[in-house]
Amino acid sequence: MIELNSVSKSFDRVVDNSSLWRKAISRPVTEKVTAVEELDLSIKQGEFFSLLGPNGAGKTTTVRMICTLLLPDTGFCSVAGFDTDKDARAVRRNIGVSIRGERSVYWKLTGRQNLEYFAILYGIRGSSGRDRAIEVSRLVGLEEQFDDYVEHYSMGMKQRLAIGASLIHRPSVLVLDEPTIGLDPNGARSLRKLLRESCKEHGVTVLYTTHYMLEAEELSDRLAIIDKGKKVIEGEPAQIRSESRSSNVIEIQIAGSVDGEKLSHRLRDSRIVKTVLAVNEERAGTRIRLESESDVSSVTDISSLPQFQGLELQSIELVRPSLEDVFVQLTGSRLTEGGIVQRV
Amino acid sequence: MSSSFVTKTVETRFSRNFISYWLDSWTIARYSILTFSRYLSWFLNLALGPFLMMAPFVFLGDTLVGRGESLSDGYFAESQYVDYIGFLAVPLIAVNLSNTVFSWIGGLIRQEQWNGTLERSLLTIQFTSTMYVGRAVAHAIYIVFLRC
Repeated sequence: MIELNSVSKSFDRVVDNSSLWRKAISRPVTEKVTAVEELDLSIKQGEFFSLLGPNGAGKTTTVRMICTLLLPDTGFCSVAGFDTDKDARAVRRNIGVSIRGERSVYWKLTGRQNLEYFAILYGIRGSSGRDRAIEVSRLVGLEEQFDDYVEHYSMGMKQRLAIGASLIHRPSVLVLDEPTIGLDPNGARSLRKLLRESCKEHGVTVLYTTHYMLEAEELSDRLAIIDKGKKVIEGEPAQIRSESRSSNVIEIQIAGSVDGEKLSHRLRDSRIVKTVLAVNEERAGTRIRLESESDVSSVTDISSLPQFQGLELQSIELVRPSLEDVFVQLTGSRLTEGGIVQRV
Repeated sequence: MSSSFVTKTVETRFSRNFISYWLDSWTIARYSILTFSRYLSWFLNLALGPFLMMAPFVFLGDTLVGRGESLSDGYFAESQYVDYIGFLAVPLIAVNLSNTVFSWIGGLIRQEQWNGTLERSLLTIQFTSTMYVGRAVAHAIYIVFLRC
C-alpha cells in the first residue's frame, strides 16, 4: 500500500556566522543536512505500521514525502499504487493525513462546519457531505459536541476531530504524525482505543509516527525504528524484541532518593554492566534498567557490585527487554519525555 | 470518433470543471466569512479604522482652512471642491479598504500556516488557486459588507 524505495531527502541549513552587513549583501552560506537517507519501507494493506524515532530522526520528513507535500531528492515513493511525484492528486484522493494534529482544524468553526468543509474540499457535496460528516462524528465520538465551536474542545477532542477530518473522504491509507503529543494519559488512551477500533475494523492502512515506545508496541502490527534519517530495524514488535541482543536486561529498584545520573555514570565503569538503559526517579525510589554482559551468571553478580554499596536494593530481577531497551541498544541513545535524544 | 464529439466532450468537461472550480472557491469563501464573523475585534478595527485615520486630517483641515473662513475660498479656488471633509473621506476609505484587502490576500498562505491548517488544505484534491480565489472573494465581500 505504501512503498518507499531508497528514498532520500536533504535540506539546506544556513551556517553563516558573518556580520549582519555581510549577510545582507551576500548569499547565505549553507550546508546540506540529510533528513532521510536511503529509506526503504513496504507497508501492506490493512496494516498498522509505526515509525519510531526521536525528534529530528526524519519521521515527519518521511510522512511529508508520502503525502505529496515534499518530493524526495532520490528514490521512489508510492501510495496505493500511485507515484507521489507523478500522480499526486490520485495519492491525495487515497490518503488521509493528520500532520499538525489539533492545529489542523479551524478553531473558529464548529466541529460540524469543519467536517462539512473538508468533505466539500474532497468533492463530497450536499447531503452526502452532511451525512458523511455526521457518520464521522459518530466514529470519532464527537456527536454530542458536534455543534460546539472547536476552540471550546479539549485537546483530545480536537485531535479526534483532526483524525475525523482525515477520514472524511474514506481514504484507504491514514497517516498520523505524532497524534498523542500534548495529550494527558486518559486522552492518549482514548485516542489509541479509537484508532484500534475504527482503523482496524475498517481495514484502513495506518502509518503512525511516534516517539512513545509503549504506544507503538500497543498499536502496531509492524514497526520501524529510524534514527538520523536511517532505518535501524523493522519488524513485528515481538520479533524486534526477540531479535535484540538485550537478552540480559536487569531491573533494579532502589529505595529512597538516589542521584540517578551519578549512579549510572559509576555503573558504566563496571565490567559486567554493558549499558545503562534507563534511570527513572520515582516517588517510591529509583528504578534502574541495565544490560549486563552475557557471561553474568545471576542477578546476584549485579547486586554485589560495589556501586550499590550503602544503597537499599528493594528488588532486582531479570526482565523481558522492552522496545525502549532495543532502541537504546541499536541507537546508543535514550529517548526522554518529549522525544529528545540523550546519548548513553 | 467525430471531431464534434471530441469538441463537445472537451467543452462539457471544461464547463463542468469551470463551474466546479467556482463552486469550490465559493465554498472556501463561505466558510472563510463564517470564520471572520467570529473575530469581533476585526470587525471593530475595520469599521472604525478609516474614521480614526481621517481624524488628524479633519483636525488639520478645520484648523488651517476653517469653516466658512476666508481661507476656504482659497481652497475652493485651488481644488474646485467645496467640501474639504468629503474630499478627504472618499479616497481615504478607498485606500484603507484596498490596503486591507491586498494585505490579507498577500498573507493568505502565511495565515493558514500560522493557523496550522495549510497542510490539510493543500492535501485536499482542490487546486491551490481555489484557496487564493476563495479567500480573496471572502475578504472582498467582508469589507464591502462592512462599508455598506
